[in-house]
Amino acid sequence: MFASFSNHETQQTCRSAGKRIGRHRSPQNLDFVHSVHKNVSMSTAYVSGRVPARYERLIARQARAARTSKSDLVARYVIEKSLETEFPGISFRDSLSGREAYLTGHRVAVWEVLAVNEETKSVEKTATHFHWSRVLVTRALAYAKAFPEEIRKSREGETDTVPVAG
Amino acid sequence: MKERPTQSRLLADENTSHRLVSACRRLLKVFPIVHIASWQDGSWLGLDDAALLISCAQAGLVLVAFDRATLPWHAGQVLRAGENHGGLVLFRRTVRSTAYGDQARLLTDFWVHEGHAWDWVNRIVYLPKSP
Repeated sequence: MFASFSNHETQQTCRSAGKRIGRHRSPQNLDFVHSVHKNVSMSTAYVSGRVPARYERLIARQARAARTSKSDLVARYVIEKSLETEFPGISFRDSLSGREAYLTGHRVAVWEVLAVNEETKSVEKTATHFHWSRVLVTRALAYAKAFPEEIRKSREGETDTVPVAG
Repeated sequence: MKERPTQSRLLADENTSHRLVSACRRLLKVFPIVHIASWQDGSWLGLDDAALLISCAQAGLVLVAFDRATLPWHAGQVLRAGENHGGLVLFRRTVRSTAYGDQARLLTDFWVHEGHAWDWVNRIVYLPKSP
């Protein structure tokens, strides 16, 4: 089973990358294929890997349930899992503005921690506000610092809408 | 349950502070609010919005939270799925996260004068209320 994934905008790029891989060695003979093809204009890259067939079927089923393409779902899994590894304690969930980062095992989004910290101007006071240890706050703030645009969009998506009732 | 001094009717979500609960109790000693981190030994902290809303309905709890658009949206989804939620009290975005005294006054005033007598199933109220 050969599974490949990419942003759908880069499918043309992926196809050409696949041909390049094929010239050197058949994908069927590889246990793992990792190929990154930089596309400067779109700022996306191509990554592919082999998985046991049962996982391909599982992902296909999950993609149907989520009403998205298999490649988009796998791309999301790769991005989120790599970020969860890079930023321990951060997970992702659905929100009105798309996927949003939140503190694993808690109900608080990263943008909410940032918002409180902007009021308290102190990690210590923010930790006291949530009744958390400092490390949870610093984890959230580290993620917010690394992805300010994503956090800004999450925050705007949650707070710039009209309430459903008065 | 670690904390249940009186029959709880209000459950403070995690984006509110424990200090809101303390501030409410300073204003009204037997105010029926409990923080989610203290409720059921904190086991509800891991619930997503939809599961929390349904759990609140089953436990007869009104969820108190800061307004974020996804929560009332999930409340709508719960209704569309044929389930009930236990009611929502949402602090408007004009209320600062750390203004514990203001939050407590808004919540206790509203609850004592109106909220305690309502049927809260599937109801959403924003504080401060519209004029």
